Amino acid sequence: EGRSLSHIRCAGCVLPFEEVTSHNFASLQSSCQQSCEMHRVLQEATERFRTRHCNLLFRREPQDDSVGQTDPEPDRVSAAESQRSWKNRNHVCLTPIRKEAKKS
Amino acid sequence: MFKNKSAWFSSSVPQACHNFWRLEGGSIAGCRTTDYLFSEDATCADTMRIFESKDYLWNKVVVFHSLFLSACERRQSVKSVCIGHYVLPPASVQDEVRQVVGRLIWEFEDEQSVAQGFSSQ
Ligand SMILES: [Zn+2]
Repeated sequence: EGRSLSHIRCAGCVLPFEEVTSHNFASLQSSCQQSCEMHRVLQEATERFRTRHCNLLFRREPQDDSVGQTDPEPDRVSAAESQRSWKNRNHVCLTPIRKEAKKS
Repeated sequence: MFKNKSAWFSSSVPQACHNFWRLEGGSIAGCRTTDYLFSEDATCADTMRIFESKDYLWNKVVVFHSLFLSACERRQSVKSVCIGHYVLPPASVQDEVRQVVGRLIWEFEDEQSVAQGFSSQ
């Protein structure tokens, strides 16, 4: 009793406007040891959303090692193509697009 | 109130919020460079593009509900308004939160400020 939602406030709840922006809130919140129930549920649900959508992203960008290993020419074309279409699709995207494939 | 702060507004945000932001010294910026992203509707196309952007998926950016600005206007202060209660998640996340907690975080904030007058303790 007495443990009602409104009595528990975590860092995410009390951070003052002056110290918070859209860019640092997520890291401030996740560095906080103990989240209130509201923020914990929100964080967990958002995390599931991210995982779901990251998987979709990678499925949309299939140019990895498995494709075009024997024939680099068409691979290069299709990679450029996919980069272009990605750019068009996401023209309000927050960061310039860089291909993350092609590493290790 | 918002001096030296920049904001990007989704097209879902009412003009009155833009006006209040500017009236209080805030500036307007593109969504890549801005300090704050405000939206009122998680299903609005421009807001969904942010939720699908790599910055969002990599936990580098959050969108705030423009109700935050309404609350600041009501109280004539940013100090007593918890911006952390106005995180606007994608619609599917909102549904999940509603199922578990029963309401969303900014709905919670509204209720709380109303309840403060009544709750002892
Ligand atoms: Zn909290």
